[in-house]
Amino acid sequence: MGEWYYGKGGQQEGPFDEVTLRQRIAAGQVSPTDLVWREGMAEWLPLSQVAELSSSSSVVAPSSGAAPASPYASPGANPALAAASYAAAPATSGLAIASLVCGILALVSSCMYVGILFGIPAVICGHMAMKKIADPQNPVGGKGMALAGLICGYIGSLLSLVIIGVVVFALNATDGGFQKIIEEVERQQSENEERIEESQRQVEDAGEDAH
Amino acid sequence: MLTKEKQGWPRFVLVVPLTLLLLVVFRFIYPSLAGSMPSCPLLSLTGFQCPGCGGTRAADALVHFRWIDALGNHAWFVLVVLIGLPVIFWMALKEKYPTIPGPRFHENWLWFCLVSLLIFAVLRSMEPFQWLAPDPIKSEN
Repeated sequence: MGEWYYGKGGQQEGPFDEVTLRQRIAAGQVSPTDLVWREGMAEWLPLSQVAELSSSSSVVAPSSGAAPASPYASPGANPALAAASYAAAPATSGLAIASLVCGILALVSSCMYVGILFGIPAVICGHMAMKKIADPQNPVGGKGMALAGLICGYIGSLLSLVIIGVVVFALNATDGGFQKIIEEVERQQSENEERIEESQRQVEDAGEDAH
Repeated sequence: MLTKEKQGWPRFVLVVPLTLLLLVVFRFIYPSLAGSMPSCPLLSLTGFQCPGCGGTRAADALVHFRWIDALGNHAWFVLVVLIGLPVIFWMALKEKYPTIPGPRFHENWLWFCLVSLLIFAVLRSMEPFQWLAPDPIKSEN
């Protein structure tokens, strides 16, 4: 039959043989919404959807002396519980994830001249994701993520467009006017720093005099 | 017999080879550009450091294995590459072989990346955290 595994609290447990797993189910260590898997299954499934185990749990649980009121011992409630938890959290749209990934990259690379390469896909994926999420027939989530991707994408694109524009303008300017502006700004900055150092030196000198 | 092992890699694993490819390409392309790149106009004119400020220098230091230099220029980027990439690869491995231990891929990691980047960008523009900012004098990008 193969060994069983289950996931609980982000940790994977196993492998167990079927008897051990049934004992654990009976003891309430595995809840109906925990994912279980064994070799031969295509997907990890919630325990409540694995027919061969959920049918056995209703048989084993009463004999193990568990209280009848325990949620694990009432098989009828399990599918409903599982269904409710799945309806509450629809899968996040892959487009929304892609949008946010590109958006983050656009923000980081906005001043490396390639921000626009990530910004445009972020904006496109973001809009497509928003459209899909708004479609009531298609239950996918991730609206917040798509929105964040859109915002990052737009900001990143805008920043990199501004920078590219200024640089292209500067390179085309025959009189080097732009470079002069930058040199002027940098000269003022270094003058400011010199002035600050000067005043600090004076303060230090004053301190030495006092001693 | 259909087993979980037969399932392919999840698509997000592509992030890993793509990033490494970009870094390798960058290593060979950047030196030819380095001298001709004008300094960042946004920084020079407004003094505003965008969230990626220092990223190019960090990447350049990273591909030449100057770790301290890389961290000093853009710590977030370097940490994401050095820690994030192996983690992403491991998560992809876990999607493919679910029996290995480790964290499962979850979209909250993305939110963590975005929020930490924004916090990083804000922090290093403030006085007490200046050591996070790249050297403003030689700001090329």
